[in-house]
Amino acid sequence: MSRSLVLLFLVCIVGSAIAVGPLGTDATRTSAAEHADVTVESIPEDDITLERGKFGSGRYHIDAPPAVVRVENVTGTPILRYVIDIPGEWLTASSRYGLGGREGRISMRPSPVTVSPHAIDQERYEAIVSVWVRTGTHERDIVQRRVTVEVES
Amino acid sequence: MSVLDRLLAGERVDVEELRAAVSRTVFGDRVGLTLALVTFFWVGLTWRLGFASNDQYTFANTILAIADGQLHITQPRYGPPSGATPGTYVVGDRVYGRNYGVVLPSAILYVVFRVIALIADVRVLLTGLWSLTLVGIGGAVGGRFDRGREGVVVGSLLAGLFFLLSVLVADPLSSRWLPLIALQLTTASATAVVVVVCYRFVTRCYDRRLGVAAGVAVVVATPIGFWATLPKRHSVTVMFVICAMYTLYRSRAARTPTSARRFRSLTYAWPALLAWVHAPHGAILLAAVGLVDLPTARSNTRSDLLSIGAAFGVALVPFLVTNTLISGNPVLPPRFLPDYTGDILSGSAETAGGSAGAAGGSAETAGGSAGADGGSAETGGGVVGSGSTGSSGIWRVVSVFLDGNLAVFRIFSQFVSSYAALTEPERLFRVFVHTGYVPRLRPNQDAAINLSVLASMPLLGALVAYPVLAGRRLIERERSLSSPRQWSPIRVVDAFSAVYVVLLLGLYFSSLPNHHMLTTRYLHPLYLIGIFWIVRLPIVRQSVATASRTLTTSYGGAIFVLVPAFLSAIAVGRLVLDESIQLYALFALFVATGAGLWAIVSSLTDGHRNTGSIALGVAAGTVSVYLLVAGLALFPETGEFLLPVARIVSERIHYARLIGSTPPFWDASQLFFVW
Repeated sequence: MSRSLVLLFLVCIVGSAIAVGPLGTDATRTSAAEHADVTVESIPEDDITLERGKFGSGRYHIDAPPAVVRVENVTGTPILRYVIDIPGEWLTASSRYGLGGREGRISMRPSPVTVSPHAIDQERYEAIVSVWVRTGTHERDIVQRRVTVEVES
Repeated sequence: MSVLDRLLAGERVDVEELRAAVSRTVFGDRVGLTLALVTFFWVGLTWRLGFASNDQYTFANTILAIADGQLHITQPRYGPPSGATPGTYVVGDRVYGRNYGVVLPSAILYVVFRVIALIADVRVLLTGLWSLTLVGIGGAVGGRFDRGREGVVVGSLLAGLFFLLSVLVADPLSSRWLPLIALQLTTASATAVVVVVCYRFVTRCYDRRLGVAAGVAVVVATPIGFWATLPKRHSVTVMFVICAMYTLYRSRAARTPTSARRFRSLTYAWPALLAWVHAPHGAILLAAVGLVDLPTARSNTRSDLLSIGAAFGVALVPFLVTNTLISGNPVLPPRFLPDYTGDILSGSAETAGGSAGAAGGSAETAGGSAGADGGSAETGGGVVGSGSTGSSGIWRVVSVFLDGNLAVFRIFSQFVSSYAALTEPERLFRVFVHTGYVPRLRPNQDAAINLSVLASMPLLGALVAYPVLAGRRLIERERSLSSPRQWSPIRVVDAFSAVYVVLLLGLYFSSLPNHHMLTTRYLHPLYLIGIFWIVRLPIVRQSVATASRTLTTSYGGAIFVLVPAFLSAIAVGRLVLDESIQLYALFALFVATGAGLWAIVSSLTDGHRNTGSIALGVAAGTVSVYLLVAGLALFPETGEFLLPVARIVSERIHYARLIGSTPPFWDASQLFFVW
């Protein structure tokens, strides 16, 4: 019994693999136009810090409260990007949010990138906080703000 | 009469007999087959599609080159357009990769995949095969309780459900991943072999229950599971080490002299094959085998040595041929050729630029490049200078001689500095106990993402029982000094394991601690030997024998409690990668200390079996938790997984630390997964 069950299973697998593969899929239309209305509700300004890692991990990372945006009227799959850039450290924390099929409030955090303590030589750094939206091949900024980042250890 | 003997005698063997014989040779028995399925099941859970270190670009490019029918890379399609990734070497105007022993079998798989991809989706196919392991495991587990049929049915239901779910959420697989998946399948298969051979080895030494425990522990309780789908040399190295241990044991335990000689010769074939993947590793394996086998063999007659030499020689052919084709010198492997720095292939690439992280959002690379792979040692002893089969005259001979001498000098100085480094307390502490943040690493490589040996495998804490046992033995004046030729089979393997580890430390210790070690990977085979040493502890064997239910319960309990606990700690503390790993390291040390304390008390009092099972179960479970969380939440470089469901799970937890925010990898097709 078990052998025939396995065989049956194998047939199913091969069948599905072919159905999903190049022979099975037939091209359907996807909506090419992309659009989203994005409103920034809050964005961190003076409360961004560079914090030293806990548990003896040594390197610093960006810590900031979330940036909150409201997204409406989404068509297609636009992409939202939230970036905190500290040029003096060559450090860019960027996180990406696909907007396809979702509307409402989204709160975003920067990606958890780290920087070596050897590279930290000031107590505060200039930084740029920005939110971008990409529709199709076109990317535009919604907000860009210059802020100061404090180093805390 | 075995099938092999009948084949050698020219007798007819029918297909069914041959199939049974092959399956017996590879898996041993049904349990072995099940353990292989368990391995694929386990490593499949965290099978990530992404280039975790830069030399994997080299492997992928080399695979494409081999699929085109040549050994050298002409069009680097992965990594930087210049093709200058770690592990590329230059001979004249040609650029070569390395680890051809792994790359060549992977290239064959790649060609198969490419053909399949013309008509079917490789991801769906592999997901289906992965689901099938559930059927096998279900049947085997059911069979254990005389409910084989029910087991198969339950397994099939689970497998069917899982497969259906996967097909619903599967994205088509980009052909970009095919070389990587081929590589991963090669190393995952090597890991399955490790598990099966470990099971067979321990079963032969003791009993089946312990064999299963050891086999499973190899892949769920050590970093061997971590590297199974990260295609580098490590899984394959470990495979040849366990094969050598197994055949060495069989050569001593064999009932007939013919079988003993066969196994003994086979023991020398493994180092030769390993040299094809990584020559220095092959050399130390050969040295360990030779140093232990020759003095402990019952006889070293001329025909014994001839058959050993023949096995070694035949197994060395792929290594010699590959080297001859690449460097022109049969004993000079690619690893010791000049590094390629990127002037030859620049401009030849078509669209390689920026291909690295194209598949997914914020790539979280595992801390810098793979770097030079440490081992700057040439093959030792017998290999170097064993032949200048080339025919271009005196210069060839001189150059082979010089290469050999330089290499011998380099290997010698490496071993000397390693053994000298073993006297530095801080270095010992960082490598074996707690690595933490290493300030002397370069600023772009100092991410504290590396675990010490003990944190990588807290089970090793139990090894502190050895000094205690040795002390007891000394006091009780139990001495058994027998001539090496009378040693029991397992004692020979004991000696091998000790010699091998000493050589392994000599090869790598001076280059540790280093960046991108993750699990102190240069000492990777140590984790396999560690399992063997743990199995050799009487207190451990008694615990597994008398309290196996406690062992499995505490293992399962540890996973059940610790996975959510670890994920919550990451989310609530909003921990970044380094912090998460260091938190785990501290916890693993705590667990290892527990295992160590139990081992000391138990070997002094000969009791506490149940406590032992709890300590061992938790120590094993801790590593499983790390493998799962690291695989699904900490290290997904691209967010892509082989199993579509693993991607969905990873998306849910990878950005768990970004509370209130939603996973960045998101598209409308997964809407019904919102919760």
